[in-house]
Amino acid sequence: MNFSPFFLSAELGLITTIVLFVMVIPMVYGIHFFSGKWAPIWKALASLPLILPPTVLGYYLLIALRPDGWVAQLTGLELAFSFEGLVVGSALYSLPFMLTPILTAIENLPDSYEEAAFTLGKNRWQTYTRVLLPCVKPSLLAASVLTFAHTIGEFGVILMIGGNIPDETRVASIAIYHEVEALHYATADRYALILLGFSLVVLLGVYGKRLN
Amino acid sequence: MFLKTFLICIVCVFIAISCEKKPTIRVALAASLLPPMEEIAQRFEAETGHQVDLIPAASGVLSTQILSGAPYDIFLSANKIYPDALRQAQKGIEAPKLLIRGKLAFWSADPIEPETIPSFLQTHKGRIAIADTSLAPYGVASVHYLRTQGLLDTLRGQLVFGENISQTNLMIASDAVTVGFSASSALFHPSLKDHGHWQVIEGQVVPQWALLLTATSSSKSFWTYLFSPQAKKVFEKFGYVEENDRMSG
Repeated sequence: MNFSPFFLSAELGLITTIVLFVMVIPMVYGIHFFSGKWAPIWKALASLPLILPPTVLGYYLLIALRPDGWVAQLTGLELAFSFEGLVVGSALYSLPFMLTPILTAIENLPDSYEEAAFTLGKNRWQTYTRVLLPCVKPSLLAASVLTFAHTIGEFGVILMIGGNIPDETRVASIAIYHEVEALHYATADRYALILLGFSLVVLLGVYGKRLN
Repeated sequence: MFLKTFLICIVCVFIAISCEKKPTIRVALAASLLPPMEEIAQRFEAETGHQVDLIPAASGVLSTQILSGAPYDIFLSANKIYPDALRQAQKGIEAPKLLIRGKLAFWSADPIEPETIPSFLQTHKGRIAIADTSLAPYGVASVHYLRTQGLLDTLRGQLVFGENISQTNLMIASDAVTVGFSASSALFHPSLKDHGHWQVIEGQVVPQWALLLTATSSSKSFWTYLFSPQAKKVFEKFGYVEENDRMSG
């Protein structure tokens, strides 16, 4: 029994959640305050990763990230078949799960919160970070949990751009698939049980923690 | 506090994992070859100290990944179109080489005499699991067998298709079907051999192809080992044959 897939999954889930959180906070700010009538377009674009089947999304990511692909030519980074590549793929794949709950929560706050902050001389960024975001803390938490869980359960994208390489891109979901392919059904069952147990503990921990 | 300890543990383990990394031979292979290849890889590791990683997936997925620069050293496929296509795309050191031949296997939940398989199928009412018939060679062999027995038209509506042979094996292992066709390698696998009843169907062979992708000394040594008498012995143990009647293959 090799536990490295679980550590890889936990690490991937954690890093992806942090990266997406940091990315999405300014994105929501931009969409909420500056997009005006263009807002539906941004929202629609951000939901697109949900449309393509994961393996298909993975295929196009592979084309983009491969050594002679446009990402490598633009940045010089070879991301396909590496852990870093998985983070990029997961961030794109899980983007709607981070963005949508936060944006929806911000939009549902009464306008009077913003108006009051503006009247008191706060600018948009101050209003956003000091008034609006603190009001939607539960949604921030929910979005992070969804992103983490979605990344842990991710399969098609990772199989395509990661290539099932032990200790590097063989995360827990891929390891389960690998054991089934190898006809090691008992090991696959154990892996699946550990993955579910681990995820349950993490989710309970997060949901059980009371927000101040 | 707990979270911090947990994070530190994750980081430590990850560092430990990255440090012990030594040059490994990565073999991308069709799922049907996994049972014998696991044993061959283990023997090679014991003999040489090299590490062999086996990476099973659908041949089409593996080919796409190899074309995109996947770090695989050797590619094994039961369908020659994939190694041929890779070779044409300037991947691979030499032309694809015939590794070994696999056989088609018949599985049933109830015991059946080998010679009565056709008549049993004639009256069988339930689903029959086979591998995909457009891409998976064992699926092609299964359909070829049914056609030569004159059963294909009768049974066409009862066939259920696994994307590859391991999905077909999964249908068999989970008793989702009572009859199925698979690779003979399944007969010798601990998870499947004692499950229901297996027979090898003679006359249906599936050639397995190997393509060398990198010319490093470690990948070359495993390549040589793959074609050695020791490896042949393991393949034979899993129901593969080196030579077959000259009509096929």
